[in-house]
Amino acid sequence: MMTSLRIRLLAVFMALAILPLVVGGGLLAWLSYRLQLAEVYERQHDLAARMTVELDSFFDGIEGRLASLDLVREFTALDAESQRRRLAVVLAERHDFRELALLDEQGRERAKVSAGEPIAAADLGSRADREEFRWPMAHGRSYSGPIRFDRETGEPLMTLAVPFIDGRDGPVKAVLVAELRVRRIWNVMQERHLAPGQEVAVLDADARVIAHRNPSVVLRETRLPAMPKEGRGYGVDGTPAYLVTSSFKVAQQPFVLVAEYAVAQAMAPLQHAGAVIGGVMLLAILTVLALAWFSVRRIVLPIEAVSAAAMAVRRGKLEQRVEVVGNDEIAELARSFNAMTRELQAALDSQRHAVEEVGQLNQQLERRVAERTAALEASNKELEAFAYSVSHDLRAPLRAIDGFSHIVLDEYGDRLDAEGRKLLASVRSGAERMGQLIDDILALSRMARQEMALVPIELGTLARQVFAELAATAPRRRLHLELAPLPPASGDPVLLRQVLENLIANAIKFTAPRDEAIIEIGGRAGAMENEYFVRDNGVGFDMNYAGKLFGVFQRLHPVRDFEGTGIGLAIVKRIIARHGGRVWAEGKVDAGATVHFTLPGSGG
Amino acid sequence: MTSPATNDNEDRPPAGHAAGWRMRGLALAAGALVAAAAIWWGLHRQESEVRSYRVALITVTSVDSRVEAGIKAGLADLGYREGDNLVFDAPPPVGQIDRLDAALAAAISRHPDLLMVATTAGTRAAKRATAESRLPVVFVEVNDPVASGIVASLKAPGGNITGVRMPASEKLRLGYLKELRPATRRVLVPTTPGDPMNSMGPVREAAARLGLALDEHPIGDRKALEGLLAEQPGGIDAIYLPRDTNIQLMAPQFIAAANRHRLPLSISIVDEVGDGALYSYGFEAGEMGRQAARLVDLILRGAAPGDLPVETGESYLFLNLKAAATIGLAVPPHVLKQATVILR
Repeated sequence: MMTSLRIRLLAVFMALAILPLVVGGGLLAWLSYRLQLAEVYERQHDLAARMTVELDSFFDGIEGRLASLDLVREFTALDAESQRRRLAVVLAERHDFRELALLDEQGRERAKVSAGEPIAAADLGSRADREEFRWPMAHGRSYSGPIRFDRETGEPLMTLAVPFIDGRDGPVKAVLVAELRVRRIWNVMQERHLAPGQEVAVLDADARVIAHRNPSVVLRETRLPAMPKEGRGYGVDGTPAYLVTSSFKVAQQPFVLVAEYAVAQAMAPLQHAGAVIGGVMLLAILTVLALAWFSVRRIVLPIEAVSAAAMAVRRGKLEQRVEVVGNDEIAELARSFNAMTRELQAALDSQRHAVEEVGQLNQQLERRVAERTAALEASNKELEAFAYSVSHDLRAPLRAIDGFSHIVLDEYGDRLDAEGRKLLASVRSGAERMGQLIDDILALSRMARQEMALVPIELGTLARQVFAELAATAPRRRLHLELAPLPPASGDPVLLRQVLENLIANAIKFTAPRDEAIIEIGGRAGAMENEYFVRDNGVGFDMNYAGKLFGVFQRLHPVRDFEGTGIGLAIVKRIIARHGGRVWAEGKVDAGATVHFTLPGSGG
Repeated sequence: MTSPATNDNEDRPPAGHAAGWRMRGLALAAGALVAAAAIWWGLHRQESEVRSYRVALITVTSVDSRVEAGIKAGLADLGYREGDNLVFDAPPPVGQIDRLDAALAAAISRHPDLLMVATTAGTRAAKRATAESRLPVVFVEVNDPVASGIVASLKAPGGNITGVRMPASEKLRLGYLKELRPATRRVLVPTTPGDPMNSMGPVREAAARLGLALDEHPIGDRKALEGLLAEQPGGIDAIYLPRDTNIQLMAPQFIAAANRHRLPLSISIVDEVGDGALYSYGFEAGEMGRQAARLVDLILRGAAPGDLPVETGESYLFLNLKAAATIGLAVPPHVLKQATVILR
């Protein structure tokens, strides 16, 4: 299949110009992506680190505030009512706590205030067996309990217990237990300015969201299926995000801060850059395409013109030329094409003249051949007519010679002496031979004129009949016929019978010196013609004279040895020739002769 | 340039062949520019598209105007600009509960994107009005939305309604009466007869714990009020107005009576302490409005109201030292330190 040059050139242009552009663009996009990703993670690491520091210091501050209660004014030494009032003030100050309770060294509640309801003295109890008392008592350090959600407000609360120590290293004299409202760190988070798509969340050890800039997420008691890991994952709201985590502790409780950056927003600058790169690339590609189009057109159009002209020349319009513009290779091609077409036209013109001359000469020749043939035919006819009329006219005097010599012998025989009778008998014999000669000449001349009727002929059967008839004329001879199967033949039955008669008669004649005459008749089928032969074991002939065998009156043997007129084989040749066949003979002196002839086969 | 030059038309390229190529090239270039422009325009179109939201607010009393201011301030902080991307449809307070339905119907007929509503009565009416349309509703100033049948639960409200509930500050407010004047024993509490939404349960519970006797007086109408206030309430140490819209509307009369009888008066709305009451402890309407604005923003940005947990407002102590002076009360320092707002 022919692929258009234009398409192939365009494909090459695309491969050479657009492919590098696309690869370059892709590389640029990939690099931008990597850079943006690195930038995103750097920002998130920075955010996580800063937020962790802020939350750490927030909790430190809370702990410090609780611890400082005792440092400033010997809080533990106050009476219970004063302690309650101080706690109430702390509770109201910043709304950091849901409840504050001061436990004595026995774990009994000395004072307690709540943001939910007023506490009467009767409501105070003991927490001696609770972890929030036992742990600070045992370790002398702050204790933090697991996160719980307040039933009334739904907010997460964390128990924070701070021990008051007597002196620098003395025993724990009291424990201040605070129900810290984790909500306060939401505000810390909300105050931080984040980019769209950036978010931070604090998770407790159970992967529950306890702090988020959107309170709804916390109040819903959102729990993540697993603790997030750094890398690409899913944000708290389930959207794909780049995550960076940072761990911190409040007393014993571990927390994880997750800084997330929604993939869509994190990569938004890339989309912009991608759009710009894409736009530039699209323009570049379209420009390259347009340039390619024009360049290909500059190259292909002239070639197409040459091609169209060549097609026209092929169809015989040798006067076709292409216009030559410019001085480049294509112009050179056009020039060469035009020169070639011119030369071709000249060559074809001279050839045409030569052909015309040959045609004229042929016509002249044919005319002359026809003239000569006509003349030849006329003279042939004249000759045949002459031969015929001569033969015919000779018959009458011959009959007279024969008849009168017969009468002389019959009526005057007794008056003649023996020598006279012998001479007269010679006259009669000569007249008889002459009659035979005249018959043969007449027969030969008839051959040319006789109409032929072509029918299938069983040559084998015909040969057997002819042999039987001829054998009957020589009853004293020992004649033996070996007849092989013969290929089918088609021809005039009378003429072909004549051929067989002549050939078999010759065979019988030239085997006379043999005790037993063996006559073989055979043949074989060929592609174009079938070949037949008649062979005898007679006297044969010298192959040097084979060319004379089929001439009229040509004899290789004297009449005294073998009678005959010398016309038989000439008749055979003429009949076979009229059938479109060939005839030839092979022989050797005293070793028999074979006459071959062919007739057109079914293929011919 | 090479072209067949013959007078044989059959072999010559079609007339104007080269011109056709040139036209195609120009069309290609023009198409490329148009495509590039279209892509550029498509990328920047989204950025310039700004949607405007319509938010309706139905309030009952003039107190709610502070809520409105808070909401507006909160929405402004979140990037909403009235007349730009926000249309705020806030008709004047309906004044009476029986006018709520008509006001809601009128507001809804103006096709808001979101309906805000104040008070329990207003929110219940809004729930009825939006039962079919499922128009998002954000409430404020509702005492107990679960008990009132507004939401299924605080954590997962379900339906089309969420909001900011009032903090459970009634017990502590009663407690402050004792803090301010520890000798207080008997407290006058006016109530609305047959009010299904009154918040007296927790108050009675706290009173029992604090050793206070509540003198509850049902006041059906203005005449009953006048009757109550005309006589010197015998043995009363303080007056406590519960969270009750009807009673709140009578606050001026109670303020006058309290001052006249030199009795500490606690009212339920902190913003009205300045009118002459001694103190109040509870939510600040403006801040509650700000808190609700964040929910409004979430819903306008696509969140389902039913997925947003009901939030709780913060409680603050508002003290009026002028009123304290009028009734001859010396406010204890530890109470003074607990006050967020002190009016002098």
